Amino acid sequence: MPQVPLRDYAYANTRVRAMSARLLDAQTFDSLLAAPDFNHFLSDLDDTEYGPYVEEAVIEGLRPTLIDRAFNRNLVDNFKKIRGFFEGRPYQLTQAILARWDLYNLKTILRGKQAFIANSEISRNMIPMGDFDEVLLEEIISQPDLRAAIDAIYMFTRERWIPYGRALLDNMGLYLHEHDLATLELPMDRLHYEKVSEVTKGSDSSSVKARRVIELEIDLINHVTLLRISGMSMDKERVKSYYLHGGTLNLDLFIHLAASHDEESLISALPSADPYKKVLQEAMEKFDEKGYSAFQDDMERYMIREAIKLNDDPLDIGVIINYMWRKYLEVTNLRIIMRGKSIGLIESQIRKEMIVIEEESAKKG
Amino acid sequence: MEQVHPTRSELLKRKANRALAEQGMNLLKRKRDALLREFMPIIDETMRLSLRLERVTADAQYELSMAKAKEGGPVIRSASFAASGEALVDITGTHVMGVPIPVIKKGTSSIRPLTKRGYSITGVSGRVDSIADKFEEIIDVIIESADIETRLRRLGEELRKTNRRVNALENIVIPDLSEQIKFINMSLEERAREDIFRLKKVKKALERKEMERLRRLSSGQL
Repeated sequence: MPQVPLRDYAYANTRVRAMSARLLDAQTFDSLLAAPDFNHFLSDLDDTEYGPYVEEAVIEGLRPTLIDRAFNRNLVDNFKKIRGFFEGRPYQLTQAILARWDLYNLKTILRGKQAFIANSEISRNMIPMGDFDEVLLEEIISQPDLRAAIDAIYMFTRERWIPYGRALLDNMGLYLHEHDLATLELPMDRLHYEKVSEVTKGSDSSSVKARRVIELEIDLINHVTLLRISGMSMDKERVKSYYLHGGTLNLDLFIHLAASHDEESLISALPSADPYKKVLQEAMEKFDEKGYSAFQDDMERYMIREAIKLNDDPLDIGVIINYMWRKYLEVTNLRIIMRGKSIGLIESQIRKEMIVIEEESAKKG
Repeated sequence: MEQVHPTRSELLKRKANRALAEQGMNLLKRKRDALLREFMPIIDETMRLSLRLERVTADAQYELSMAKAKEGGPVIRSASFAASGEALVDITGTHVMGVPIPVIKKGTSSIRPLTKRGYSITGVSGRVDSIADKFEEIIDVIIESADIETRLRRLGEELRKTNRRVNALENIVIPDLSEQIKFINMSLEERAREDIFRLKKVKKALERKEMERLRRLSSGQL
């Protein structure tokens, strides 16, 4: 039955609640974890929502990469379905939350073009969860070189709400001088977060919640970036170029913290009111063993926990945010089990890597 | 045994050849000992490097699998497109005991600062840095291994060649020459004895002829 897009959340949230009921429960995860090998893991997925996707993927082979793609297809279909429920402001907010996948897709195309990767390989790595559908992305991919791809991005984005092409053209001179793709990616990142922060501004509860999700994302990036650049002597302008506006960390503090000698002194220098300080202090204990993955893992866990807590009103976007993050978490955990099984990890090792959010926060609301 | 002419000049030639072969063998033995002295620490170094390579590869593969799991394979693949680059290698040459050996050194370390990996650090997670660090370390270890393994292989080949030569001289060439010298000596001695015997016979015949002539002279027949 064709869906008529709506401007309120009541109908969509009911549908999303039904979709939430299809999320895998702890028992299913236990049985997947107990699967003796990769093949058994795949057969156990047959009875879940992922069954048809996996079935389609295994025609090409049994490689984890193909199953990974099947999980992504499921994720894309689910998120696209949710976006299709809305129009107007709810659509705009959902679009803002999913827009990071547009940024990812465009950057992947630019990276692929610069490294002379085959078009088919670039296409395989697209995750069309955002505004740009497969057809549009294919059109950009089919351009003969990087310059043509940038022109195509400019053409397709000049009238969109995030004009990525403008940012690319404005920085083309620097790129031609330095031949470093980061000179194009950084302005795209900055523009992206500037625009999504702008579009999520508003005083209604849905806007506040969508804005909170974006803020969490920006905070994660800013904090992890600081940790990654700590100890490098960089001039102020360079440090400023890594700062993303829209988070809880202000630019002056960001510049001040960037001068820290190492990760430990940076974490100590964070204001005690900074909610991430405790998370990072705990992650620091695992830094020697896991490197920057330790910070990334713990910050992501915090971000997901905070995002799924936003589910406190049945009539706003909180229900959607809760579902989106729980679904994302589910796919991440499935991938962890799948990769773990494929490299022969035992159950306890896989459990250690999984991202588990307390059941209470997940179901809240 | 090859065809040998039992002459004095041949004997002198063979003796000179044997002396040369013995000198060569001693030199080769000294070379073999020197090569062995070079070879043994290289074996230890090769073992150390292959263990290190095994460890860093296992670590990197684990990190890669987990990053692909947590971020999704496409995200990691996308970062790898940006981070693709080249590893510069300097190849020069040296000699160890006269053996030409290529020296492979990394031009610059493959471990790049995270601001030089081609992606924006704000757009790629910290996990990618951890994997990139590990895989760049693998490249460095591979270059070190390539240098030490080439050295090991070249020295090993030379050692085997030298050993084969020493064995050939010690067990074939020198015994053969000694055998030939012995044969020539025996032949020459035999010939000398024959000569003495023949000369004695000639002498006796001459004496007999003289006696006959003197007897005829005294009997007045001449």
